[in-house]
Amino acid sequence: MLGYVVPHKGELKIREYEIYRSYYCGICKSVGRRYGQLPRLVLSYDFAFLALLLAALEPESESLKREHCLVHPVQKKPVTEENHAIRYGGDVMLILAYYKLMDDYLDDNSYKARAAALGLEPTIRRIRKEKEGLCQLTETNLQALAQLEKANCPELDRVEEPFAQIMKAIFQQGALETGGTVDVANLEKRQKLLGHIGYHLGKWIYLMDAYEDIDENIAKKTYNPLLYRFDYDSDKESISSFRERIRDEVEFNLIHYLAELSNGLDLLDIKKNRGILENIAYLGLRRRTEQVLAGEKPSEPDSPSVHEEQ
Amino acid sequence: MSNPYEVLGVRQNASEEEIKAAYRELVKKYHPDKYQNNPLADLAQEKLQEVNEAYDTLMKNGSGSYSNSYSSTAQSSYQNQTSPEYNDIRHIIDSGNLGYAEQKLAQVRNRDAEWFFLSGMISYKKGWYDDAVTKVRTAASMAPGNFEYQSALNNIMNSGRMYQNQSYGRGYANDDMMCKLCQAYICADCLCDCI
Repeated sequence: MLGYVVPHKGELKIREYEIYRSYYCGICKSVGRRYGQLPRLVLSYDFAFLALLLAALEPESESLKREHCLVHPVQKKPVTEENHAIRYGGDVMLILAYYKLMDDYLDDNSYKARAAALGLEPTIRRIRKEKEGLCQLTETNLQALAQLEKANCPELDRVEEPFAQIMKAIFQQGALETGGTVDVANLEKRQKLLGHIGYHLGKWIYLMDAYEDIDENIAKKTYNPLLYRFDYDSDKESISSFRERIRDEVEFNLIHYLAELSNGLDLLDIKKNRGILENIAYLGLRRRTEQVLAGEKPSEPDSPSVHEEQ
Repeated sequence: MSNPYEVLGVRQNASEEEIKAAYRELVKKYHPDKYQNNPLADLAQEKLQEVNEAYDTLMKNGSGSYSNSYSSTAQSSYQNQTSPEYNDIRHIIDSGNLGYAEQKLAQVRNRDAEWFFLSGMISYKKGWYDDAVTKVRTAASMAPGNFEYQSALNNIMNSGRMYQNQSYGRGYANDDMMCKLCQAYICADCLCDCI
């Protein structure tokens, strides 16, 4: 489900790319320092965006260091020093990763997922102490989602809602994690805008995932909202003609979510790194959208994942 | 009041032309059309006002010649003849209490074009666009001559297009040649970037 949120590297300045990378590495290092090596394996790019966005509301520029790490043992990489945004991004990344693994285990009886979830459990217990409300909300919404999926819900918006609400809460609470110096009125504004961004990002991620999984879901006879929303009938059409038939409507929705996400970003009181954030919102996410709609597997040239390189 | 130069994003001794260009860009960015029926409309309006004030201040200090700042027309969104019942619901929708509006609408037995329209507008404000489009489309086809439904539908369909235009404006390219160039560039980049 995760890992769609990346910038369009070709249009980034080199300095901007360094900063972006430094958040990604910053989260990874921070998670490693606080929770040990194992939780670092679930690293995803989506939360580099969140950390970058939250930090962008603070005027102080980040302090970058160059450090070695396991994945890049020879060349030093830029790393942002740990701050509130980085810690928060890391924590919510682990919460979502954990529940995703549990979900995979319950859905497909995947023992690999169960093992990984077990490995994360001590970490989640620690995070839970501080973020009980967020964990609770995530659990409740994922249960609601499971119900809708079990009932083969044909309404796209309804089935997208739980995940969108989780992301909304994550982004909204992020406003509280940073912003120590902001007055109440501005804090409310931030929360509203961050919530708007998170909500639409959640809807976008869920729908992207659904469109990408059509083939797999048909093969495995598992639920996919698009099959019910657009009345897929295996006797009457091939999978590829189904994809083709629904493509425009899916695209309309995906683009609409990105438009709202960008509207929120445009109104946010951003103090730094606007170029990177707008690159992600207007170029990176759009390119990912077109790739998924065209059925291309993104080769991830922009985003070397830790798993792949190890 | 905040620094007008900062609000417009121009340097302290920017020329009149630069100020005007920046102003035009910002008006486009915060234009009420972009935020119609949007929960963020009030925040966009606030920003626009700030931009207008900054522009007025700079223009007065500069040549002092004129001020033609953009004023957002506060239009009432509903000009149609409508039953008192629907009128009520429209007010509730405007006030932002979507749950209550939904409840009231569910009690209406006659599901005519306006019912579908209002139901669609509630969905739209909730962020349920797939649902909103379906319903507003239904309303527009039930009452083909209704300008309000048609324009709401156009508006919904347009918001995505505005985003796409903005992304083209920032250098988004989607044709094959560009993609190949990018890939080549990224591959080359990986070679010198890795390890």
